[in-house]
Amino acid sequence: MSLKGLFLFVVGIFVFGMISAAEDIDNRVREIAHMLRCPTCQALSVKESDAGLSVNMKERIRELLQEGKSEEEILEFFVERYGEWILRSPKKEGFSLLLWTLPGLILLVTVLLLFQYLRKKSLITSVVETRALSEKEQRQIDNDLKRL
Amino acid sequence: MKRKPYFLLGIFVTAGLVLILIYGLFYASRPGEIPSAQISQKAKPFQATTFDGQTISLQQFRGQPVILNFWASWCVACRREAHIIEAAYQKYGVKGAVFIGIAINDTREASLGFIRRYGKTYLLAPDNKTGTISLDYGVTAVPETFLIDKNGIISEKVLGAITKLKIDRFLLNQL
Amino acid sequence: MIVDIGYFSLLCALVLAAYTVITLYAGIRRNSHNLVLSARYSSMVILILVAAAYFSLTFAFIRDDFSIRFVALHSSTDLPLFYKVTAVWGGMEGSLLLWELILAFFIAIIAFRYRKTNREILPHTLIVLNLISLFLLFLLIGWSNPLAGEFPVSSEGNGLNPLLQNPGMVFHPPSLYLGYVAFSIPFAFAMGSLMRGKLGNQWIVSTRRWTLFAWFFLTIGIILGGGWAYVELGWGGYWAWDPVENGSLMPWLTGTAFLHSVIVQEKRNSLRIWNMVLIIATFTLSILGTFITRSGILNSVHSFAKSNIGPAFLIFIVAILVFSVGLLFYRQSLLVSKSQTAGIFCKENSFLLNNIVFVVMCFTVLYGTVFPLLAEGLADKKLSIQAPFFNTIMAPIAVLMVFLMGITHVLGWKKTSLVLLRKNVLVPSLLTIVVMAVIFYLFSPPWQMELLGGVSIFAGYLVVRELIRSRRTGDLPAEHERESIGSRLLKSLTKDGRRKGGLIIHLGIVIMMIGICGSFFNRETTFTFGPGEENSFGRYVMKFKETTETQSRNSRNVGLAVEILQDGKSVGVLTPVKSYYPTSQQPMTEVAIQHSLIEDLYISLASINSDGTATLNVYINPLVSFIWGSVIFFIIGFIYSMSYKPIQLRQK
Repeated sequence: MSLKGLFLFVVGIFVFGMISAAEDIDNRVREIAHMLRCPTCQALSVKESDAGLSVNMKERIRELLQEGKSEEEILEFFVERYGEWILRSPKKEGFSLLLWTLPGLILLVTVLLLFQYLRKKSLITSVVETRALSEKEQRQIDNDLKRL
Repeated sequence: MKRKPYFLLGIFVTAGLVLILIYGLFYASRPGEIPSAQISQKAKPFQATTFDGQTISLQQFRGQPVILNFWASWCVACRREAHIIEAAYQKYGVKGAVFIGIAINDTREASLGFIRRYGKTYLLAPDNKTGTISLDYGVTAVPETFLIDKNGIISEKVLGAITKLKIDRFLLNQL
Repeated sequence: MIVDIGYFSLLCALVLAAYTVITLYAGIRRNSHNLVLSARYSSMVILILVAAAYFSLTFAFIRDDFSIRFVALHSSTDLPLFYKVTAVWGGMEGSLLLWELILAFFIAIIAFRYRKTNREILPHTLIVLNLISLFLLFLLIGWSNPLAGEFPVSSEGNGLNPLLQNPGMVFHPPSLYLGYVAFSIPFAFAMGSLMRGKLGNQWIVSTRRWTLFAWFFLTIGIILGGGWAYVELGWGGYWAWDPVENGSLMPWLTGTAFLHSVIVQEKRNSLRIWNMVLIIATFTLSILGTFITRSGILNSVHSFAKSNIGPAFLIFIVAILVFSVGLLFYRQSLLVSKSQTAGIFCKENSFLLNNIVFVVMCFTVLYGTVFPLLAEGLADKKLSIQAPFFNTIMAPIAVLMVFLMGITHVLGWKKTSLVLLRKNVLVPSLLTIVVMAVIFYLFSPPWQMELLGGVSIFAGYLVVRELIRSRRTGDLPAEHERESIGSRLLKSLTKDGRRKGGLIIHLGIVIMMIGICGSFFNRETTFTFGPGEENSFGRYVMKFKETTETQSRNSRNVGLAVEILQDGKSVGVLTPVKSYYPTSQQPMTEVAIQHSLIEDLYISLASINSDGTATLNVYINPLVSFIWGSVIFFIIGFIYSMSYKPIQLRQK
């Protein structure tokens, strides 16, 4: 019971802490600005930066959204002007495909190799095990041990 | 399990990493340097109103080389290049080269003060409030100078204070 | 003057470290106990010499001795005493000295603590450790000398970077260094046993607690860094996947893998080469982290001055790799482990999978961090790889990690019956599905959150259940039955510290993951308001109270007092501040945060405008407290784990 109580408590907090964000234009500007790298303070995103250029960019994103442009179109607008450098997460094409796919590929391959290896090993051991002690033998051993 | 291929793989990966680090340390460009995406492309047209009220647009200078400089009164390196650009303008302006300075993220008073202090006389205009021109050109910091050839193609972008040599070399080719 | 003594003692330490290496080598060759003894004593002397250098620098800071360049660059007369003492590691040169001090201290401990239990491999181990120390001392007397003088002497220093004037940042570097340096001890033991050719499990058992120690301080160091970013950088986040942060995360990931896989070697005597690989990787990555931080090959929020130690570190990294991998290759035939696994579903296999996951995570972080260099070199493209990439790619792997962390607790060594397994995971699976369905229905969060939240609940349930099972007094051996309940409770609480420690740390990870889930629900807004005006956001109403201006010892602070109202009642006043330091051009943003278990209200002052209004950036960050709260679990779990004494050590 105490376990369940504890869990309900944690889950309750969990649920209570989450209030969905409204999809207003300010948030959409932030979402897009978060995908762009600030040219002035390069470790930050445009969203996080208060540098003059970033402020201008945010304003431009807002204008473009009001013109009815989609997120992809707006990102493309900046890529055209600044190059792919401006994207904080490279496009999934060309050379960058190597970036996006290799980690998953490695994970997949190693896990497959591991499973193959383990299956081979467990087959060997299961063969060994079936030939292992029968009940009679076990009793024999137990008796021997007692005698000792 | 055969161990040898795994060892080879490990050596391959670590050697690769070391090569990348050597490249990064000695051969790669500085991480802060951002190449322009618009080199060899047609310069984006723009319109601006100069501080003395004249309306200019890039199209009207078709056939002439353009030195398009982005600056601001609060920028330190702009002070260093101010008289270089003005001197070049005095020298090449009469021969047909166009010099434009666009002030970004600046107040009108501060810009005017800067112009007076450094005696700039070429075409000087503020960017609009949301920086349309500077964003169109992909400006990353001030000062930044775009060298636009006679056909309206951007031939080079110069990050930081421009030097006399760069202007000379470009314009001698163009004029 | 005093600093000259410090520099002289560094020189002596360098000579002595070289002497130690040579003596140890000779001692091994001639099998001379006396030579080894001499080397052990010289380790002690090196510690004294390095400490003397360190304290001479500290003294120079306290005395505002600006004739020392390092002091002039990182201190000023108006700096509070506390920050003067800690500014010693406020720059690269001084932090290398701190690193060397910690290393010298650990070497001295090793030289005496393990003289009996590890007699055979101790000289070899000490050689490795002293070679590391030799490298650092070389840097300290030449390339990056913290005690170098400057002429002409200025009357005022540059001042400590205001970003570093924060308690989190004060303890973040030493904590990381403790972790890094402590990881060099299992590394040295591993190399020592390879050199000696004596490859039992002794090195693992002897360094078990060093590994735990290293892991703990690395973890705390990383979290302190996150806490610092949260309160000091002012954009509402604690982790930005910055190259410098990644540099500290990578050894943590392989170190965590190592921490688990040595258990497999201890219990089942397998994975012997793999453990060597992991500790080599962990140690190399801790050096690589420093290289990335200090060489300036990648840019980062942490505005470190570029330095010229890049090439030296690169040479060191290559030397470590060539030495250790070569040694491993040479000795591999001694490291064959007998394969003796049984079923597919067993604890050791979950550990194997866990290792794969951690190593792939580490690879991904490293790959993403250096990929811009790769793209520039091979494809002539300049790319940026920052938080959005890492968040996307790491989320699924982290989900797998948390899942494994939970499931491993219902798996037995060797073999697990599937019936039992099914029975054990039935309730948590159902619970997870129900809770996540409810959350989905209420908030429709992104799928990453659903997955991460789901596995966190799943793992959390299993960990808590194990924890409750492990503290039942009934599990105590019969001999304790007559004792009082109190003493039995105490016994059952302290019994089996290793297992409990692990479980509590796992619980901490679950808590932290729940905190990270909260970040999917972050909200923020920006608004400008004038005196007396109000603005509401979420459950809060913020009222413009007054602007404040205070003068502290070394900064002028302009702030805005904001009264926070909840349900019409005032719950407090938050004062975000902009601090102007005479020694720095940019003002510093000091955020104001109202913490609660459910969410943080996080306000940073964007600007106070000329017309008397003020602009605020306001963030609501749900469940962030869980991340900081997880530290408590790490501390308790760490104490529990350290209470476990390895058998081999106990017998001696």
